[in-house]
Amino acid sequence: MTYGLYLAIPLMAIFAVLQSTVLPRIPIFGIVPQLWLVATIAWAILHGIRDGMIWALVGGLFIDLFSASPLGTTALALMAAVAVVTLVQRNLPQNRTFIPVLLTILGTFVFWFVYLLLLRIIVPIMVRNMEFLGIDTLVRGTNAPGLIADIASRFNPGGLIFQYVLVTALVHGFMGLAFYWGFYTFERFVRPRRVEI
Amino acid sequence: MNLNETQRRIRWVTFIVLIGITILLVVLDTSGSLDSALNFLEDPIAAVMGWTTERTDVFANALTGPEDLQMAQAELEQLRIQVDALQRENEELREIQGEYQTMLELFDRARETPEFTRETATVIGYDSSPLFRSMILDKGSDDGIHVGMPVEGARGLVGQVYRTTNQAAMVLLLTDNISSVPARLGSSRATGIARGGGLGGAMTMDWIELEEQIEIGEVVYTSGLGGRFPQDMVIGRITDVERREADLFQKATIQPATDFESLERVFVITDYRTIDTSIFDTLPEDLLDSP
Repeated sequence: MTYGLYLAIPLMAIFAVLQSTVLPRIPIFGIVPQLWLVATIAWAILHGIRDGMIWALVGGLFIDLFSASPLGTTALALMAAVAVVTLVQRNLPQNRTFIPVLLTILGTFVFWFVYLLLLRIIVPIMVRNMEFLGIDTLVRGTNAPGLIADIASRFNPGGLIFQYVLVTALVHGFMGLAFYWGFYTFERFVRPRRVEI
Repeated sequence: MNLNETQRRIRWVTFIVLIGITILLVVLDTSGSLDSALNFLEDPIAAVMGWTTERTDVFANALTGPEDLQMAQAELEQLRIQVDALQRENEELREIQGEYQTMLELFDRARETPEFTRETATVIGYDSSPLFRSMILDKGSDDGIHVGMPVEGARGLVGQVYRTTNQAAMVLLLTDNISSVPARLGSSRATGIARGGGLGGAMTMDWIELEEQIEIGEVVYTSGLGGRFPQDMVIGRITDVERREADLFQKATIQPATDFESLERVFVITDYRTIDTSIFDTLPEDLLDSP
């Protein structure tokens, strides 16, 4: 493992705070870019699956702290995205400018697919256990399963959600290139290449 | 008579003639007899004077110009600084006015329902996931805020606290996918459940009895059923009704009263009178004894 963990903790904390405070106020093409997702994929492309998984875990947990989503769902979806991206990367040519762009777009799609799948499974259980929502008393018990099923259906990866994911993936693609070159330059600065004479 | 004496006489005569002409001109001018003659002379001279003065000004400006330019530039710089300062002051005053307006609306709301105990809180963040609609407040369990407490803004209900820490609380907004609030319509008195639409979806009122006649524009209030929210808090207004004879219930679209994007300050209702339904939880003894 590299110094990735020590960098991931402060960086992901900053990204989580920005994601919750500043970024919702400056949407790009109607979407709020997910810096933590782009940063994690860029780091995984540069440092491999193990470092990427650590970043995914740290980033996902920080993001879930500031969200109504069940704790751990973002981390799991992000880990899946890192795994797929690093697997695909092995079969692609190296040192191509467009590779980080393509891999970030792919990573965004995988993240959202897994995230929505997890939410469809976990949210109905979570909602039932949230006593303050009073789901059972709301519909006098008889319609509770229908209400919960309807809530679960809100996380279908179609319609408006698909449009949102599509625009997000494209915006992330360009941001991915910037993050990749940023991390690459940082890496060269921190650990310059050894030259043997 | 020699030549010198002749010259002296000519000189004296000239003096007398000149003095005489001058006196004559004074007399004529005083009497106004020379006006037309003077105008005839003055006009071309005035034109020449004007032309000369213009040229003289240009020449004088060219000589003193650099000094004036420096002064003007210094003055301009000072004015720019003043404008910047005034603009900053103006923005600060607008900010104060906005805050004052928000506080005024909130306190108006508080005055309408004095029976509630409230805690004022500031919005410090929003949900980090675009799929959920929640916000973070700067008050937590140390300030007496607990899970389940309703949150209201100046225009109506905002949501419900779902998670707290010592210093912060997270509020599930009415527009979130999992938010469900027992609601009643203002005019038709029809009841149902107001539900959030999540990402890109509209807020709806579901489970409304099919026989209820709903009108567009009706105000949606909390019904107070279930005791999770106080009754008669404004949720929004009906904008569309979806009614199909084949269905058991009808559905309406709600335009929320609160603009969730621009919320800055809210009230957390820490105490309100609920309808005690615990009496119905156990069967009366006479019913238990009956065979």
